[in-house]
Amino acid sequence: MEQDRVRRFERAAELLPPRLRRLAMETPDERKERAEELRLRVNAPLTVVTAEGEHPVAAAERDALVTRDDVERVVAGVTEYSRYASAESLRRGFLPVRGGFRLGVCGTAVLRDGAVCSLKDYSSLALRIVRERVGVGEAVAPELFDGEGRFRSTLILSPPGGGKTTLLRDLIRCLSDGGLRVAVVDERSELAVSVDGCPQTELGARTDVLDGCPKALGVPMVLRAMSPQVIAVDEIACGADVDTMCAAANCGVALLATIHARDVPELTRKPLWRALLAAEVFERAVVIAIEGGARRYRVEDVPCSGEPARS
Amino acid sequence: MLRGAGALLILCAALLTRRALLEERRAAQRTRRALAAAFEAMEAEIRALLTPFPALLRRDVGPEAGPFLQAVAASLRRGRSLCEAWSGAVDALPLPEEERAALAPLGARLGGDEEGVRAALKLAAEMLRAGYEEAERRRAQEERLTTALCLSAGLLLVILLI
Repeated sequence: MEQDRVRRFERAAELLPPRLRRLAMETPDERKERAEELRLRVNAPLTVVTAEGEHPVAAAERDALVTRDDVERVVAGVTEYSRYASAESLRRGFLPVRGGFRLGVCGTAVLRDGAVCSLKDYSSLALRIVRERVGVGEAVAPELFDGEGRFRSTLILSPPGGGKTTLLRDLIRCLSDGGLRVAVVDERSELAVSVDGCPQTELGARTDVLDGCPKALGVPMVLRAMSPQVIAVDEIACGADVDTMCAAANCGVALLATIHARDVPELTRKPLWRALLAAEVFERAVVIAIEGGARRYRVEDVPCSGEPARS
Repeated sequence: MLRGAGALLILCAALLTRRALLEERRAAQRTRRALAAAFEAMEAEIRALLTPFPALLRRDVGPEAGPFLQAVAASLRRGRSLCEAWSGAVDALPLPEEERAALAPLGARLGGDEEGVRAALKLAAEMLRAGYEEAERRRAQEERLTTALCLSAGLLLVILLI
């Protein structure tokens, strides 16, 4: 597992220009294993992000300074010199990368009619090393079915960085390989990290992926086109997402989604989530808690209309 | 007898030179036509499917335009920028200097947004088509001129040497 993580770090480093790649490769293996991101900022040193913070890749900061040309080269390489082909993704600030990575992009927004139509003068990049942990959901998946073997719509809860997306990805794989048709509306290309239509992560044999499409548009599309038994989405974050989930639940499909919340009681405190609970769309919640440096998964029933949670 | 044979050989050389010059022009014409068609096809595919450059450069476009696309793809694989790769491949085209000089700067526009890239490809195709039509228009006149020059040079050499 550790060697696998080191290899993934090194594959991510291969996307950097030669000078920075060499410095990144010199990072100690222990840090490579724990690396979550590589950060490039113009006129600042290249850093490795771990759970503990950001660490420059070289002892002398000036050796690892990132230039504007470095940033342009990384974007050009990731877009295969075809920025037009990635314009929609770029407009939303990220690019999926072959191999299961994801490049967050910051720069100057180009506005047209009040909406961001592109980014230019790139200033910062976050090369996210997508952590695929195959098998992490296997213990949890059986608890998400009722006595008749029916999958119950489930929310995955944790604060940011808690591993919601990692668990969601593996639960999709478990459900799909378990025989259910799963449709994934991958709005931010984080679940499948599709490149040229091919998912770069393991999502199971019966999974259909609609990539780069907003949930409000994508969920009705997959309902019509793929007749799924389960629809999976990452990060329900706004009223439109809640409405989409409610509409999909009315069509008889089960749902699997993540949401930013520490636990079920926090869900009942926020007005938007209260609306979701009132609609009785979700029946189960998987709460991710970090205890003693390890992640624990707790399955709970979701209360309706803000009732107290029952473990 | 020997002088006659020598004169004949000189005239044959003049005719072979004429043939080589005309073949060079025909090759340039074939290149213009094939590249213009390739650029138009690339522009259409970008408009319809937003296909990235590496896939476009792998298309089978025939023996005249193929080496150009392969040269660009090879340069990209070596880590050069699209602008550098394009300019390098344009330099190797069998076209007159002024046409290559006009095509080379278009590479800088290929790294931009869809509209910019499509406009650059369309402009490149238009420039090549214009060059093709201009060369076709002048073909008869240039062929006559080449024939006259080659034969005149050959005859002059015969007169001077014999």
